[in-house]
Formats: sequence, structure tokens, C-alpha cells
Amino acid sequence: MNLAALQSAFQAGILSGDPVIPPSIEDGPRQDRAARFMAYYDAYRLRLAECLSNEYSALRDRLGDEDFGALIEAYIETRPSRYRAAQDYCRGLPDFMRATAPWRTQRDIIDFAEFERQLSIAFNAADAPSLAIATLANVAPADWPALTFAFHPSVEMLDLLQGTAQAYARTRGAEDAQCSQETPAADSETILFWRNDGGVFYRAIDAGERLALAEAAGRSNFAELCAALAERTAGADVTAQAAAFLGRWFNDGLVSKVGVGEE
Amino acid sequence: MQKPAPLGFGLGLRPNYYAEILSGEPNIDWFEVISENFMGRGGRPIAILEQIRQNYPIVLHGVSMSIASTAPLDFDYLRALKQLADRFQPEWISDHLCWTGVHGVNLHDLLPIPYTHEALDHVADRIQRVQDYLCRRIAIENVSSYVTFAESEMDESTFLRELAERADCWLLFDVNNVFVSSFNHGFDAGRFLDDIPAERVIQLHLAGHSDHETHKIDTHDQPVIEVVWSLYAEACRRFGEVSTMIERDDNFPPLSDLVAELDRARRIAASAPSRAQGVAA
Repeated sequence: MNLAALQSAFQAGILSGDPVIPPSIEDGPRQDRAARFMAYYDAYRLRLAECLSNEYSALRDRLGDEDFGALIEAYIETRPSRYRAAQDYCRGLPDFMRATAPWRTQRDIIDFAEFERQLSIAFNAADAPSLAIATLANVAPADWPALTFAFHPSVEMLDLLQGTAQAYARTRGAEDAQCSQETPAADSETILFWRNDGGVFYRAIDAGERLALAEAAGRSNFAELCAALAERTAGADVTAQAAAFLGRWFNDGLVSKVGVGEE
Repeated sequence: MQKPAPLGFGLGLRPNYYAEILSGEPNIDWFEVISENFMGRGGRPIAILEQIRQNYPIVLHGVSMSIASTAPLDFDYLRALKQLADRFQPEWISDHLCWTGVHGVNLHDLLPIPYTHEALDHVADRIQRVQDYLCRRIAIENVSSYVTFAESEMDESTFLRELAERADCWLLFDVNNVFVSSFNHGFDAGRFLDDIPAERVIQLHLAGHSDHETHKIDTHDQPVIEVVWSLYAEACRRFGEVSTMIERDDNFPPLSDLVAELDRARRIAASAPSRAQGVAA
């Protein structure tokens, strides 16, 4: 058997539900060939299970070891890793849950997993500066309408089932809860995630801030952002509201770049 | 061809020890950094590596190059590795004599190869291409293995020696891996060591393993055992002054325990009369 065929057979033996021992493997001094191969068969599953347990420790606490074990066993057996880093493989778990029975009907659990995944993504996101609000002092009044913003790579908004952030905070203990209580009474909540000075943060945002942030992240300028807010609020003067959003984004460390008239 | 200057006695950089390393001055000469933990990522880990790099030499040690795979070389991976190396200026870059997957799958393990002439040609060619891309010699490490293949045409030490010459690469000699494989496969670790060309060895690994009676697994979760210390002493006599480090990846003890193991390595190295020539032909 040549090298390519051997590697294909070895990999197929590991990925199959029941181990298939490649014919090339020899008996050893103290173990037969099947027992020797199991070191690799088991290691693949154990390594991914350990990574999933670390990445979704809150989900594991919420589901309990037995149900969490069933979930990650199903994931590992049906979705071979195609990622260089095991951590990246773990990121596919919420999508697997969304597509697979019995989890696909359990939105609360899926969104909980998605919440935890986003914390990890924010923690590992690329670096970028976080500008101080004093940056805006250098902007001439005439330039404000054309002002554009770029956000830190860790910034992300997710629409999740109402109560997801609080459920996470409860699982982690009150001392870890960084989520404000601004959630409106609705089926969904929008959670904003970001990293600042190495720490990962999240908070619920209302529909107005969600719209403003989406506009700004989509490279709308400040005038366009205000127009979008005004449309939502039937033409009210929203400049003060937009300025308040901006102030909070800067204070939270969300803004990495400002420009004037940039697309 | 001059070997890189020895770095002394180092440790695998792991998050458990970040605070202690940054706040104190442990008797550690250098750190080995797992490349993949920092490639394409930002945030606190990168910031900490920046701080540590200001005070210590580092080497980059990879687990995903998959140099022995029959899948095409992953140039996205190599590009990210090169960017990391450009940023942190490691003393050298290393990875393992293994493969991690084919057909787009990654098994996240250091998988063994048959020691055949075909494999030798294949891996030597790939190492040369990687070295051309990275513009530097890399170091290749012998792995612990748990199976042998009927196809093998030579023993592992012969394969490693031939590979280093053909690819013109360095060797990272893992003392514990040789002991683990020698137990699992029933070969003489001392003879293995004698086959390795001293002029190619620029780094030694020490680690612990788990003992399952019928076989041993390279788990890096235990102290270095006596027989591995003895083999290390022989490696010091054989290879001369070589950068040495301890890998610990689980069941983490206090940092002082690992520093004590490094001190023991220092004493052993200092007392070992060298048979090595530091410069290759």
C-alpha cells in the first residue's frame, strides 16, 4: 500500500463509527494491532470532546454532563473536523444543533450555545485600536454629517431568544454577569458583544441602538445614521439620541477608526 | 552550516503560567510557543506574547504543518506562520514528522507514517518546499507512536537521519518520545539515539507520559521519569550543548516544580562530557 492509500485507510478507520483497523498495522510486543490502533481512534474523539467542553462550559453546565455528552458525541461522529485549530471546529456546534434533531427545535439551547460561541469569537478576534471619545473633538462641525466609523473586529450583534444573556449570566454566577437590564419585553433580544483591553463584554441593546450600529457598521455616515433613526421614530429629532449612542460606543471601546466622507 | 546558538533551558509557554512568568523572574531561559495558538488571533494572548517576547527568546513549535501528509501543502497555514514569525522573530520554527489528515479532514493528532523510501522522498521534498517558503531551515521532531506499519523498509532513526540530510533541515529530538516509542515497539532507545546526526540536533524536548502497562502514551501530564532523565544524560553526551525544554500540557503543577525540573536538566547537561561536534560539514 502506498503512502496516500495508507493515510486514506488510516483516516477512514478513525472516522468510522466502529473502528476499522487498517490492514497495514502490525501487532506490537504487548498489544495486538486492533488495540494499538485504538490509541488513535480514541484520541481523536477525546481531543475534540475536551475542546468542545472547554469552549461550551456554560452549555455543559446547563445541559448536564449526560445530555451535553450526547450532543457532542453526535456532533463529532457526524461532522469530521475540517479545521486546523480544534477551537474553530467547535464553532460549528450551534449550526449543527440548528440542523439536527432533537436539538433543532430547542431554540433556547441553540441560542445559548450561539451566545457562548460569540464570547469565544470576540476573545480571539483580531486586534485593532479602540479610540477615545476625545477623537471626536478634532472633527470640525461641518464634517459631522459625513463622519463614518469602523468598529473593533470583536464587535458583533446577535438576535437571540429573550433571556439568553441572563440565562448565561446565571449559569456563570452573578459575579460574571456583565449584561445590563435594558432588554425590552419581546420574543428576541439583541446582544452586543465586544472586547476591550483583553476582556470580553456583552450587553443587551434596544432597537434604536441596533439600527444605529447596523447603519454605522454598514459604512453609513452620521447623517445617514440619523436619517435611519428618524425614519424609525416618524421624523423626530434624533441627533441627541445618535450622539448618545456614539458616546457609549466610544466609552465601551467599540470604535477603531473614524473618517470623513469615507466609503 | 552553523547551528543556532544554544538558548539554555526553556519551558513550553502555557496560559496557566502567564501571570507568574510576567510578575516574577523564574529561572527560565526561553519559551517554546505553540504556533497555532497565536496564528491569526488577537486579544490578550497576543498581548501577553508581546510582553514575554520583550524579555525572552522564543521558538515557534507547530502541530499542524502536516508535513508528511499526502494532501497538498497548506499555504494559507504557511502564510500565517510566516506572518507570526515575522512579527515575533523566533530563534527557529519546528513541527513534527507526522501527518494530521487528508481529503480536507483534520484529525488533530500527530499521526505516524510508514518508514518507506516513498515516504522519505515525499517528506524531504515537502520540507524543502516549506523551508524555501519560510526562507529558513526548520526543525523536525520525532513523534511518539503507538503503531507500526508492515510497509516500513527502515527503522525510524534511519529515516530521521536520512530525512535530515536529504531535506537539509534541523532536528528537534524528543527524548521522551523516543522512550515511549521504544517501549511501544520494542526497540533500543540508546541505539536509536546513536543513529541521530548530532550536527542536526538543535533542540531537545523533555516531558512526562502516561503508563498503561501494555503501552505508554505521550500525554505531557506527568513529571519526567528517571529512565528519561538517564536517556537525556546520554543525549547530552551525544549531542553536546543543545537547547532543552520541558513540555507540560495537562495536570499542571506549580511553576516552581517545572523550574526544578529545568534545574535538574541544567545539572545533567553540565555534568555530561560532550561527544558532539557543534558544526556540521
